[in-house]
Amino acid sequence: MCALPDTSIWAWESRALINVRYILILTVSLVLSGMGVVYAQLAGSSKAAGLEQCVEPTAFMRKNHMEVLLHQRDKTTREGIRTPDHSLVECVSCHAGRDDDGNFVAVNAKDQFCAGCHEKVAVNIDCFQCHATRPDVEARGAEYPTFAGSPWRVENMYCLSAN
Amino acid sequence: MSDNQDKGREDRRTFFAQVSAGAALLALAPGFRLIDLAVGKNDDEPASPDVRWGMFVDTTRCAEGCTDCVDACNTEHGLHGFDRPQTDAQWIRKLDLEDDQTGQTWSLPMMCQHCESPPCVDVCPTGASFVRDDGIVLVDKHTCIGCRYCMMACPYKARSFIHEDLTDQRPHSPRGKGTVESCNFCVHRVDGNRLPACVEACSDAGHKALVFGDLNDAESTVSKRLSTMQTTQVRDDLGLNTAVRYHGV
Repeated sequence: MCALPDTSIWAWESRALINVRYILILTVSLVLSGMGVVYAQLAGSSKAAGLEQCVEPTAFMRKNHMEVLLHQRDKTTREGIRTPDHSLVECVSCHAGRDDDGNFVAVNAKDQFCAGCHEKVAVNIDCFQCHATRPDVEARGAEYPTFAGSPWRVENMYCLSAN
Repeated sequence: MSDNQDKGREDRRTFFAQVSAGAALLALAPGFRLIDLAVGKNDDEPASPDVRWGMFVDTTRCAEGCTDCVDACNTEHGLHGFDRPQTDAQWIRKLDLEDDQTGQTWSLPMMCQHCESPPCVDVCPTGASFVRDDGIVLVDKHTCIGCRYCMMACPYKARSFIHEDLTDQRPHSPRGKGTVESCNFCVHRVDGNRLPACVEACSDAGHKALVFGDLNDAESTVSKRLSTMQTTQVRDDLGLNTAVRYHGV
């Protein structure tokens, strides 16, 4: 019945009364389809929701997006390589959803694209302590507070050769 | 019939003439910006060691009280204060100087001087402070532990430490609590063949006190200015070979 030799890890299975492999496959597919529904709910309003797949096949991205980002991080910061495909800025601009008023919602907000899965699998990332969580909208420039400057620094600038 | 054909030809001629004129205008507009950034770089190319970015500051054109460069920097990088002047982040600031004896005054912008041999890089214990191949001095905030040795080492007080949690950063300028930061010559703009925000703002406002370009390219505007005008390196006694040079101080 089983074509694999008896040394295979699956060999015991052919003798089992209930085929464990089929149960495993069934469970995994149920979980994955469940996740698919969650994804659809989370990211329904994002640009990514309307696309066939991410910059790499979906299965690859689910498993390896952190490696891809880590690699690109050093390429960009250290060497200035700014290809868009694996850039965090592009992830955010494509995956950020919108609220009912059409405004972007932070990707790390509860139930949004990043946080939705990371909370589920108890992963604590620190990307968004520094990185923007929403796409930049040119009009948002006005939202940034104005800045009065630091007189202390000016007074302490004593070392110009001109003096 | 023949008249119609002629008219058709005429329309086509007008159309092509208009299209060519439009194309010439389009070519001119980006060309104007690219004069100083002749060394174009594609997204997939690393920064070139053949380039060294630098800036010429004409203090005789820099008006006292003008903060166009500072404002542009703050907007570009989303910098804002927490009403704590001693620690608020500052990438570029205006200095007003006066000679005690003669009463002569100067006004100039002060920021990271992008040294060839930067003290901040020497003292960094994690390698987070580094000089990119094209001469821009940067902080890799992924490896910065916030020890602030670089801030103490910098003779120009160019660096700031972020003390507060931040939100709503600009996508091209990640900033976060516990890391040190400073002027990065708007590296995201330079990589896209655009001028730094301060240079653009100064130029747009008509002051033209700042010139940015490749110091290694003898034909660049910045090199021509440096070769024909007197310039000063601030604290040249330290021998750091700064990429920012001041005229008129």
